[in-house]
Amino acid sequence: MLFNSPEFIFLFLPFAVVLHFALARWSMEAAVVGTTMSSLLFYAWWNPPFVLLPIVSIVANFWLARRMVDADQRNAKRLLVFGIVANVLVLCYYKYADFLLSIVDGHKAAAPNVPLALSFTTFVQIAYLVHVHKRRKLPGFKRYALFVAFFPHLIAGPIVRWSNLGQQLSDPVRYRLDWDNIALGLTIFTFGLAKKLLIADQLSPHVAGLFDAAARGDPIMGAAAWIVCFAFSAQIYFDFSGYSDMAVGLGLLFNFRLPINFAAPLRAPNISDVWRRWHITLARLARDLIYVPLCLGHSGTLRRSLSLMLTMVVIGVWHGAGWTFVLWGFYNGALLLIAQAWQKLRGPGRRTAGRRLFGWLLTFTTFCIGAVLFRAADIDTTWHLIKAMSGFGDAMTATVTHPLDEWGVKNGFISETFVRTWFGTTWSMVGTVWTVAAVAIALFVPDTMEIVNYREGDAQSDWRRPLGNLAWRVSPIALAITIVLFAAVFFRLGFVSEFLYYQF
Amino acid sequence: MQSRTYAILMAVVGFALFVVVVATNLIIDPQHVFGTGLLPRSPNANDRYERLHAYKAAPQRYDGLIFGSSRAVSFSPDELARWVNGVSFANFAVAGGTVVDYVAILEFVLRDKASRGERLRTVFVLLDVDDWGQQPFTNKTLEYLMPPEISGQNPLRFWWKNLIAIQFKAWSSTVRAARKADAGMQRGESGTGILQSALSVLAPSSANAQALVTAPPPAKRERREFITHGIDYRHKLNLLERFVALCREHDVQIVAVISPLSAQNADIYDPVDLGIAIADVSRIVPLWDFTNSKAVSNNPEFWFDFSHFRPEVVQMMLRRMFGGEVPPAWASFGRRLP
Repeated sequence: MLFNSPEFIFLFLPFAVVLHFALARWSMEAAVVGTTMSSLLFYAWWNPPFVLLPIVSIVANFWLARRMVDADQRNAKRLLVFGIVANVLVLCYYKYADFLLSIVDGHKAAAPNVPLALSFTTFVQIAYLVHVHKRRKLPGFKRYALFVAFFPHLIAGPIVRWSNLGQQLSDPVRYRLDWDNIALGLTIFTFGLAKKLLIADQLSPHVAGLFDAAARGDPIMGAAAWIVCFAFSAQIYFDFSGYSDMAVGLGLLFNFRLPINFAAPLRAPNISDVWRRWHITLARLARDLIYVPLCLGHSGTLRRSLSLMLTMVVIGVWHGAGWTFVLWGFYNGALLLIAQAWQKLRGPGRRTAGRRLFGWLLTFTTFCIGAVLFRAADIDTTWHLIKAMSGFGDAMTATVTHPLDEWGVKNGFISETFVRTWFGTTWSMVGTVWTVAAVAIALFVPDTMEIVNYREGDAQSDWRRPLGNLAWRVSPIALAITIVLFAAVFFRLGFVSEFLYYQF
Repeated sequence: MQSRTYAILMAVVGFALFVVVVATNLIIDPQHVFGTGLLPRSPNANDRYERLHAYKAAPQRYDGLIFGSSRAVSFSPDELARWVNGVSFANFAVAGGTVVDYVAILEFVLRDKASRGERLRTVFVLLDVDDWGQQPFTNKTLEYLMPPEISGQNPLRFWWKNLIAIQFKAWSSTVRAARKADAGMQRGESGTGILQSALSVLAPSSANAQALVTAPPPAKRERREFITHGIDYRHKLNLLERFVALCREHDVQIVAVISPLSAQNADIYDPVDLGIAIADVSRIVPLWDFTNSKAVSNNPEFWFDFSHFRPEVVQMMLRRMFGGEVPPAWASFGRRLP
């Protein structure tokens, strides 16, 4: 069941919210159990037998945590290592087994059939084991089960930490109906839905068409390859940040505050800031679980650089089993190291508007180029696109291929020669217009979390802009705007498309 | 404004929109599954559901089944019954029908027959070998959704999908068709449903079945498609094996036919590869292959469009298969394989 499906919005969600608060009137424990059951039902909707996987995983990790609390320091550490390895092995079995075998025997790895949410729940539970190991305190099993299975974050994050959501689950005040949070939650959910359906899904067929053509080895024009890397960056940003907004909105309907996951990263002035604002919860978890332990007690530049690189490669590999993801992680690690070196070299100099603009342009472009690695089916496809971007693309098309382009040519709005020369057979003027519009929205329109001033788990970055009258507050105008937006997305609910991050 | 009012108004508007969609689906019934009957049959009707519904109305009447895609629409069950010893055929020819549908339906009917102590005698199956490599339309969109009895899906999901679908195109095409039918009635034209109008399109044209007027072959293509390289090719062969095994297990006679291809259609495929596909299929089940006649393929008089052949061709196919008389020009139409 997808957040953007009618069965979720009109059947499951009202049922789950009403059940939660109805049970909460009776007892907090009942609400916890009821919402855990709803969450497992939500998961089972996708593939009923697979619901056993999160159940077994929750039980096993809780058992391990209990053993850890009872054990002495040395054995607790052993149990922690065992828990981390076991969780990672399960993930490897489902996600990386074929890829690892392909390295050994050279066969072409097939796309893995990963159980939904596995990558996310694995990280959530590893972070929990680390937390228990440090604090030596154990919550009740019911609360832990809801913490992991809570459906707003279960499938694709934000990755929650016990220190945040776990504390809220123990707070009786959170189990009372809060109309302020429900109004805010419905608004954020609608904004997220609009990001996904009105922007990301409009880019999707254009992006998919070009990447599929590149995978087949069809000729790609240079301009088309450049535009598609911006188009895909905008698509995945609106898709995933839309999903994360929806998750935060859903959390608020239950009176729980989930952390934000995106802070307008495409506006970031440098690559370090991008990674403070893009998939914030994953980046923070990777920092805390990989980078910091690797650097602990070592202040040398080489050690820190290697740790950073390893952390980014792990983030890359976490997204998928393939060399493209390894390279994507490596590429971003390299960008971060270059940015750090440059900052050291430059020192705290004055930053003029021109320099800031240049810094943003360079950051945005390099980050978007990396997106080619993230989306391409394999290294050959990436290479094909990079070659085209470097000016080695070819093959003008004999005709204009997109029906809307054809219409534009017929009515004299665009020149046929222009479309043929710059876009070839695989891209279109329509795709270009959508890309420009999407990037412009990402850069100039305030982000959902800016508009509603939601700050839970905010990015460690000075990213918010003053909004003045644009700031959301409960008012008839805000209601009218949100309803119009919901009506606009409602009529696109029929075209249900999966979230890109479901595959991870 | 209070948060409570804000939240309740938002929820009310959302649910109102939802209720409008459900009501529209019930009233217009674009897939023709609710049986509200307020509007004539829609062009988007789910014929898989309708075929099953027709069968379930009188299952004891049938001891034969017709399987096929929309190409099989010209095969009349009564006409077929005359050639096959009076077997009474239930028609399961459906738009986009493939062996994926045939196996599921056959399994359902065999179970149903067994539960009533009846027997299925014959199945007639028209195979579109040119589509063999492509993924089927089945279950892709609402009009191709298998009924839950056949798919094994939870019936609630089937009805829910049909109730909540926001489908502007299907709604408008149903209303347009209803208006057209209404205007036709006012003009005193007979025939009410879309099915009738579809069948009237399929009525014999001025084509003369005796004369095989050959049109010039289409221009040569640079690249041809390979059926056997298609992603679904092996899967469909496996399903056909299952289909044949089921028939043999239950002592059901199979009449298998490969449909003729228009020149335009045949030109899409590599001829050698097409031959391999036909041979692969015929190794699984003995059949009549009607792809071999250039005279039929090249003559536009025998085709409704590049894919669907006219009833004159069906007549000749039946005569060739069951030993009826054919004009000399048709003597080499079709061949028995292996």
